[in-house]
Amino acid sequence: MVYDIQINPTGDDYPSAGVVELSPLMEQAGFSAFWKGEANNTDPLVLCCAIAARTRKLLVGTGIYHIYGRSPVTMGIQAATLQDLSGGRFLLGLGVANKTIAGWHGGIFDRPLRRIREYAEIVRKVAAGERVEYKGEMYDTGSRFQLSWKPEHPRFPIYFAGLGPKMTRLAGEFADGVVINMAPASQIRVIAGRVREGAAAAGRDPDKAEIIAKVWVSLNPDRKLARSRLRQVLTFYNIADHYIDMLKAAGLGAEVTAVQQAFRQGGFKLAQEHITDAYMDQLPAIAGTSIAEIKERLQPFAEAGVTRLIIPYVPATDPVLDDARHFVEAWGRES
Amino acid sequence: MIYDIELNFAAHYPAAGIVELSPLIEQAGFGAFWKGESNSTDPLVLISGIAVRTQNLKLGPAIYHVYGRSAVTMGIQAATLQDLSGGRLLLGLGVANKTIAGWHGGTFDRPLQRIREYVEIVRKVAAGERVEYKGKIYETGQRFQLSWKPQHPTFPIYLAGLGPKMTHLTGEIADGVFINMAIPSKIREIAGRVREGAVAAGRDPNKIDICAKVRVTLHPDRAVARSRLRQVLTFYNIADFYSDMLKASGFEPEVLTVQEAFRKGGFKAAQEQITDAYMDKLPVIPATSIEEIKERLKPFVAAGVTRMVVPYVPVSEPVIDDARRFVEAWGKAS
Repeated sequence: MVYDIQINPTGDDYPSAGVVELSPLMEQAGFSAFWKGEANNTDPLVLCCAIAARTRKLLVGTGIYHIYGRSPVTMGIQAATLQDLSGGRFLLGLGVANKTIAGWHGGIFDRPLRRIREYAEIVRKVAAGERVEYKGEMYDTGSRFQLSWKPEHPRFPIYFAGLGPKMTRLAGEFADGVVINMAPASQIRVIAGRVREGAAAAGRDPDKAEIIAKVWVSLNPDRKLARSRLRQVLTFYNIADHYIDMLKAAGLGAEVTAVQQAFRQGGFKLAQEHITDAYMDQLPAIAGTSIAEIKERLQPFAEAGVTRLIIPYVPATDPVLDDARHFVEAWGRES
Repeated sequence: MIYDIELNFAAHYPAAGIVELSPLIEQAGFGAFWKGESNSTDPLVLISGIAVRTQNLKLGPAIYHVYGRSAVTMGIQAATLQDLSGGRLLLGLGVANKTIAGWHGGTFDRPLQRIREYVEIVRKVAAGERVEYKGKIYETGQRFQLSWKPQHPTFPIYLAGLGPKMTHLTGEIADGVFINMAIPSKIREIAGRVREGAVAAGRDPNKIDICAKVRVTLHPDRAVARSRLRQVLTFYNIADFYSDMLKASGFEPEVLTVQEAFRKGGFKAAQEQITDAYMDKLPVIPATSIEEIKERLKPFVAAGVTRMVVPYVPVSEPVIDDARRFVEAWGKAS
């Protein structure tokens, strides 16, 4: 199994420039890829490009870029440029987001399966340097688009973010793999099975589909501290639409319902109190006191079929950048 | 006078090579690195890489069009790059044309309203304001706001403009105008309209930047220096917007000759009609030395240009080595 890291810089206290400075250390520590998510926080592409310019081998990935923020032709041009810049180190994670995010970008959240399939198809053609005149049901690329240059690395993996049955099957059929967030090992096994089924149904080798999963981690000798900020992250996912169904399917319905009820009654703070230690330990989150413990607790995910494990690192103490550096260094010493 | 460099047109510069070259660009004394869009390498990708290899060099897409990414995405990306670079972004925006709009599933219409709204959204988003914009063209849905407090919430936005309305609007709402392919007399006229727009909007007309591009090649053999510029100019004599402007600048007979040759014999025949005499009237400098380039840029400065953008067109392979020679020579002469 390959270990990746995800860091979300958040401004003054967790500056983008500081995270980029940290990237050579991530590479040395043995992480295979740096990932960065999107929503209303710092832009993944900007960070991936900056990190690519400061490292030699570290792969850089958008985990996840949604399809409403930029046209597929732009995404294709940017992918091809980053591939050239980085010597072929780009991993493109794509997702369909949700109604709110689509609305920010003037888009309509509909026909997600069709939409992402067409989007990915255009991105691949554009970034491969093909002549593109795509007329799909969702997207139209006008007349005679083609890159002005021959891209040096025309192929790169495209992964779909997915939890539900249809999207994960499509990831197997059409993409190079799936990116799974917030799923316990038991659910990862189910999802990985569907991805492989999709691949097999499309006549592809199911073992070549990458199963990428995120397990949120914090590290502190004091376990209470390690748990504290993870609790915030987990609260967010327990009240976010897409994840609820999956957590319920994993047998955590009672816990999710308790968090949501607390949220309605007392807001985020009260909801947070319902992420108990016992519940936290059933979620894909590790409040670790040592790297050895973290690696031990990641084993069930490897056994569930994860081929690439993303560790979104959640700093437990201030200054957060120093906390993140400490984690990366500790990881490097243990590898 | 600030001299900027653009590495872009008429050649494909390898992305990794440009990033490697960027510290030298900064050392040579250039104020900013600019990069155009269209179907060539992406400006944002390059300037994000360059931002972490340089300290003071300003960084600009010249020009990013409004069809490629949503206004909210542009705002998020601008804020991120501002944080990353310590506030070095210069954002050049333009409305492109029908073909480019079509590549991105867009409709080329109401360019003035469109860019006005787009700029407004980008500024609000990148400043960290709560945004719920409902314009005639753009809507940003509900409750958008950056998740963090941006460290450098304002940055200059320049609009690409040649026509009377766009340049007037530029003076009204933007921090400067980005002029491509215009001779000094035309630049003077455009700068005047931009300043009028600024005055009409109650702004200080002297605070509006006038950025203009003058394409340059450098080679001891002038015939070689001219060769690649000829290709570039042929393109502009054929392209809709620029050929109109060249006609309006007093080159109608020359433009028509090039276009007729293009119709009859294709690009190669058209190229032959860019004579040395015609080339020397256009905003391009096929030079044999840096001193000559600076001398020939003086009329542009006199016309009111405040940021002189020098797109370097390479004349030999590998292009990145050719560009490095130019940058080094520029640094020595500064």
